[in-house]
Amino acid sequence: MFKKILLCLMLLCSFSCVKKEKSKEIKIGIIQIVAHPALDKARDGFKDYFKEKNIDIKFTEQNANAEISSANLIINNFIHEKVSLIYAIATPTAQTALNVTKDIPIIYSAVTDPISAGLVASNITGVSDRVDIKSQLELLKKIKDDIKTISFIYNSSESNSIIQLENFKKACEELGYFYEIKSVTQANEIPQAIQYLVNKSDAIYTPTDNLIASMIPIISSTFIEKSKIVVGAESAHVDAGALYTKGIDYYELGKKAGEIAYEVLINKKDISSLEYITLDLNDIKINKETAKKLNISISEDFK
Amino acid sequence: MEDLMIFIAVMPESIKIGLIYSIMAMGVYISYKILDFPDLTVDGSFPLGGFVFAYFSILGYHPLMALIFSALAGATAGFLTGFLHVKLGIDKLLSGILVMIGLYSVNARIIGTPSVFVESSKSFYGMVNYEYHFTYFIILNILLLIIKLYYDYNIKVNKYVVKSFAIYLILFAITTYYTYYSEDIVMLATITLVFVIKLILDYILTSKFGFILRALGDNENIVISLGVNSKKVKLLGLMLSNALVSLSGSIFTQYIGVVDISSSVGTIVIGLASIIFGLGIIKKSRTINYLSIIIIGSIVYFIIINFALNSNYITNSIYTAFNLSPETITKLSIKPTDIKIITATLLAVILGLEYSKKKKVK
Repeated sequence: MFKKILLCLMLLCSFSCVKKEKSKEIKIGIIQIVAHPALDKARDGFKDYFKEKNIDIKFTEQNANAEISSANLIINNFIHEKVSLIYAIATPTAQTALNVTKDIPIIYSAVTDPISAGLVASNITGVSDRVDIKSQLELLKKIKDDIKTISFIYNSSESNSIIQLENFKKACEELGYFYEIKSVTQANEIPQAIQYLVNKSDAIYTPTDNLIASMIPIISSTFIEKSKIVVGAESAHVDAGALYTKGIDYYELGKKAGEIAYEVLINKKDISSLEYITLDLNDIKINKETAKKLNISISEDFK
Repeated sequence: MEDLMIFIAVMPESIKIGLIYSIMAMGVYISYKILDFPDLTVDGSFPLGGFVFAYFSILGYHPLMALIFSALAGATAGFLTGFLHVKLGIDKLLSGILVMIGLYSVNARIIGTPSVFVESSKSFYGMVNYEYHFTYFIILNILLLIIKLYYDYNIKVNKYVVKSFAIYLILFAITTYYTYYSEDIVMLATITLVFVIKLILDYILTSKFGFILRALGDNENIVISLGVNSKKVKLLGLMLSNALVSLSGSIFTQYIGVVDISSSVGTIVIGLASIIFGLGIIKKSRTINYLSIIIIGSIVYFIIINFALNSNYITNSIYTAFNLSPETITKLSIKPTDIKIITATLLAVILGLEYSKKKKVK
């Protein structure tokens, strides 16, 4: 029996000897920690940037399915495949990539604080998804002036969210808001936490947290029911029902990462000379349907 | 061919991860197979080892010291699980679950962040260096081999001693050659670590304590009638098991440079899969004991994962061989998220084939 399996395997593997047209195209390895709408957008934006520039690039996409041990294997596969650049989406993959290779350029995106995550080396740079929570909350004052308490919900397993929590607290103190904070670890804990928060606060802020981002629909519907405002940290939250955001779009984030990769690969810039960048946060996005439900008219000067 | 070469070139990486996880699998083996205690604490004590290591290494302790501390932390977690079960009479599964849940908060508190980056200079792997340590490791391995030979000589029949020693010698030769050729000291260091731990465990399991431990899982009443305090033995067994799991977690953290609170959910599944898989493909005999089977099972498990990760290259080249159009290829090609089902299918196929083979022999 074992011989048969071996034979089958060899037969399968022999196909890999088939001659393939070898072009001198550039290979980029894309590694993503989990399948997730925001992270998928960051990936698509990256790929679309190269499509727009009409450069023929072979992308090798891999997903670690939330396991760091798989991420490590994937990066090693990339190295042996001789990719010219690694695009790491989200903090854990970037950290793993940096741990494995010190030569191949690594571009990361969807990392909130690269410095505290240890993503500092001569072969790594990228785009931070840090958002300016204070300016987002300043807008809230303009929309509704009787808000006293803002709640914040986050996944305590994500280091990105913890950084945002600190910024959120600071922003609230500066703007004179009270805050109510709940942390969750799994999707099934969210409904209870939301019920608690909706009774305790006048508005909720949702951070760029992978778990929270996928649960925006339930968060926003609960809050809208009680005619309370949901402030999203990024544009996908607004698409899913949050009232507004003044912040990043992961698609744009991916595009920006693509731009850096373009500089490194095509313009042959030295990656160690490129600092990590944060996006300009001037775009305000509003969900009109939610605004109608909340009976909030957003004036022109606001936009 | 190129795709296959990539798979083979990454093989050492899978072996390393497999070896590191095999320490955890040995811990699960003690609780699950020997003690007949499905201990879910593992999901919490694996990252616990990583976090404790990160804490002490940031404080500036020597990595080996930090390793010992993380093993102690794991033993404490095991003690808690045992305490809940033995003293408070909580069900086996539930007491494991309770400690696992509680450890989440503990892990989040140790450093204060859910994911920590450990600098390579502060880890055991960052400290070893091919030029300086190669000979030391080789000498250490030879010493370990001698100890093993001496020990086997005392407990086994001569024929099997020679047989198993021959296998070890061949493995040792391959490792030395590989390390010398590729200058991959990390591999040698990992093998040495696992070898040391395996020898210690072999000693423990064949000692008087080990016999009682093994008897306890089979028939608790006999052990009690012998006048042994079975509760104490159970506690010690769980402590040993979780100390190993934590140790594995801390070695993994050093190897990978990151410890993340959420990514180790499901560690128990890997442990159980390695054990059952190892036992499914290799039969226990006098030459090879359970622990070695588990190590092999864990390595093969990670090689299969690596194969699944590579499967899209291989399938794509098959499609090109059949001259399919690029559109069909993109439709048919394996998506990154399909890796899990491929891993599951491969494991099922191998185990199923082994089973039918065994049936025929009977």
